[in-house]
Amino acid sequence: MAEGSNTMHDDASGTARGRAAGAGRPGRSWGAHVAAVLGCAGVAAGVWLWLSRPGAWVGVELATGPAVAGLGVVLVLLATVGRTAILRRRAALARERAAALAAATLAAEEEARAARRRFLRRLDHELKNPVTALKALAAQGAEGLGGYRAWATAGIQAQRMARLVGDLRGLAELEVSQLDLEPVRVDEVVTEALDDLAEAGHEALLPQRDVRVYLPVAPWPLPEVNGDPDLLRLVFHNVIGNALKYTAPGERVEITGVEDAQRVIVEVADTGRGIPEEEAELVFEELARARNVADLPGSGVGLALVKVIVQRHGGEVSLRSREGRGTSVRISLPARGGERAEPAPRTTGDAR
Amino acid sequence: MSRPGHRASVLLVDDDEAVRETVGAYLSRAGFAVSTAADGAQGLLAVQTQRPDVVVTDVLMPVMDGRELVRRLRERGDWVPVILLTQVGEAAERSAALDEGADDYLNKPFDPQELASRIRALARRTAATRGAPADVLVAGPRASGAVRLERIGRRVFLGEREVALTPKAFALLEYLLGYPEELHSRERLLERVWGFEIAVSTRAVDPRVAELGRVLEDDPAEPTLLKTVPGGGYRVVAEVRRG
Repeated sequence: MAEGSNTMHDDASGTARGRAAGAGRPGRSWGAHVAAVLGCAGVAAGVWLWLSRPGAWVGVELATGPAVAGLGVVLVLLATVGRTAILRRRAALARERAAALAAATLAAEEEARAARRRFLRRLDHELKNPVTALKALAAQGAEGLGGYRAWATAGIQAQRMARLVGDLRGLAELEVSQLDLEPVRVDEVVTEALDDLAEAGHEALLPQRDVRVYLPVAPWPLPEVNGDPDLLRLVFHNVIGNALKYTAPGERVEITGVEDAQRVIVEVADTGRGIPEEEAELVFEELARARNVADLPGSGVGLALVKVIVQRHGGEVSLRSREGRGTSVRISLPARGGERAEPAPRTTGDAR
Repeated sequence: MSRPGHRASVLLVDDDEAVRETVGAYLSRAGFAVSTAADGAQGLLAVQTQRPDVVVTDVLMPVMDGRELVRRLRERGDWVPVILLTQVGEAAERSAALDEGADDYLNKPFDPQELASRIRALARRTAATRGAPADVLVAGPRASGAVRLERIGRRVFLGEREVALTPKAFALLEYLLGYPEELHSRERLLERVWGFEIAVSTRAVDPRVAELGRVLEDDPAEPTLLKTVPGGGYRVVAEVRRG
C-alpha cells in the first residue's frame, strides 16, 4: 500500500463485482440431494421387493414392495419441488445483489463526477481573479497607462497562478511517485514539524497559542512506522499549521499520540473556529477551503496533500469539528511491528 | 562557449507564440543572441544551420517533440547543450530525461532569471566537457578512498569496497557529482533532487548530506568530498572525473 505504483482509486466495486458473479451460480442444497437419493433408493428397493415376490421371504407382505416404491416416488417429488424452490430463491437473491451493486457503482460514479465538478468550480474560482486583474492591467497598458506598479501587480498575479500550478502538480505527482520507505519514528517527526513551524514564519503564532504535546514515553515510545520521513513531516506540518492558523491567541492546541492495536494514532485538536458541518468531509478535496476561513490565506491543497500521503502510507485520516468550538484531525498509521530497529541504509540496486 | 566579448547564442524552441515572444525578448535583453523555432523539426534544422551555443526547448510540441529533438541530435553526434522546458516530475522521469541526452531541465512556469542563469552555466561548458552523460562519476583521489558512482547499476564504491546508500542519498550524490564546481543551496537541492513543488522543509536535505559524509568517510573537520558552506549550501570539493 506504501509501494510505488499504487493508485488512490477505490477498487471495492471491483471485488464486489467478483462476488456478485459468484453468487449467480446455484449453490449446494444438500438436503434436497439426500432426499432425492433416498427416494430413488426407495423406488429401486420397492421395485426389487415386488419383483422378487416369488422368492419372497417369510413375513414380507405383498404390499410392502409397492408401498416402499410409492414412498420413494413421493420423496423424489418432494426433493424436486424443494430444489426448484431453493434454486428460484437463490436466483432472486442474486438478482437483488446485482441490482444493489449496480446502484452502488452508479452512485460512486455520480459522486466522482460531482467531486470533479466541485474541483473545476474551485479551480475556476482560483483563476478568475488573477486573470481579471491581468486583463485590466493589459487594458491599461494598451492605452499607455500603468507604469512600474502595474507591472509589479502583473508579476504578482503571475506568481499566484504559478503557485496554483505548482500545488496541483505536486499533488498529482504524490499520487503515483515512488516512496522511499524506511523506519520512521512518528514522535520525532511530529516534534520536527513543530520546530519547523516555530522557525518558518509562524514565530508569531506558536508562542501565542497554548500548545500541549502528549507523546508517550511510558511504558515505551510509539512504535515506528514504515514511511518516508519527509512526507510524514509534511503531513504534520500541514495539520499542526492549520491548528495554529485557525485558532485565536490564547486558544488551545493539543497533540496526542497513542499506540492502539498495531497502529500509531496522532490527533491534533484545537479550540479554534471549527468547520461548518456540511463542509467537514469536503475540506480534504483539492483547493477546497471552508467558507468560514476566507479571511485567512491558504492554498486549499494542505489537507488534500495530507490525505494522499497518509493513504499512500496505508493509513487513514479523518476529522471531526464543531463550528465555533474546535476541530480534531486524526491520523492513523500502521505500525512497523517488532522492536525498534536502527534505520539501515539499503543498497539502491533495486530501488526502482 | 563564452569567449570575452562573445554573445552566447540561444535557440529557443516552443510551439507557444507568447512564450517565444516574451521569453525570447527577455533573453535578448539579458545579453544573448536569440533565435526561435516553433516545433522540433524546425528546431533540428535551426541547430544545423545556426550552430547555437545552447538550445532551450519545450517538450510537448507538434510535428516533433523536444525529447525526439534531443535524441536526433545525439544520434548524429551533436552534443550542443540542451535545456528541456518541461513538467518533469519525479526522480525517475528526471533521470530519464538526462539519460536521453538533455543537459538540464526547467519546469514551467519558471522565473526567466533562472533560465538565463542556467543558460549561462551551460554555455560555460567547453567542448571538452560536452558529451554523453557519464555512466560513471569518480570523485578523488582522496585519503579515505575515491568515490565511484555507477549510474546504470546505481552502485557506489568507496575505494574498492561497495557501500550502501538510501535512494535519496544516492540521488543527492549523483546530482552533486554532476555539478561539481557549483555551490548548491538547500533550497536548490530540495527542488532538483527531491522534486517537490510543495513546501517540504530544507530539514530534509541535511540528514542525507550527513549520511553521505558518514558512509563515504568524509571528515567534517577537513572534508575531502563535500564541503558545507555556512549560510550558503554545499559544494563538492573533490576532483570529479567522468568515467
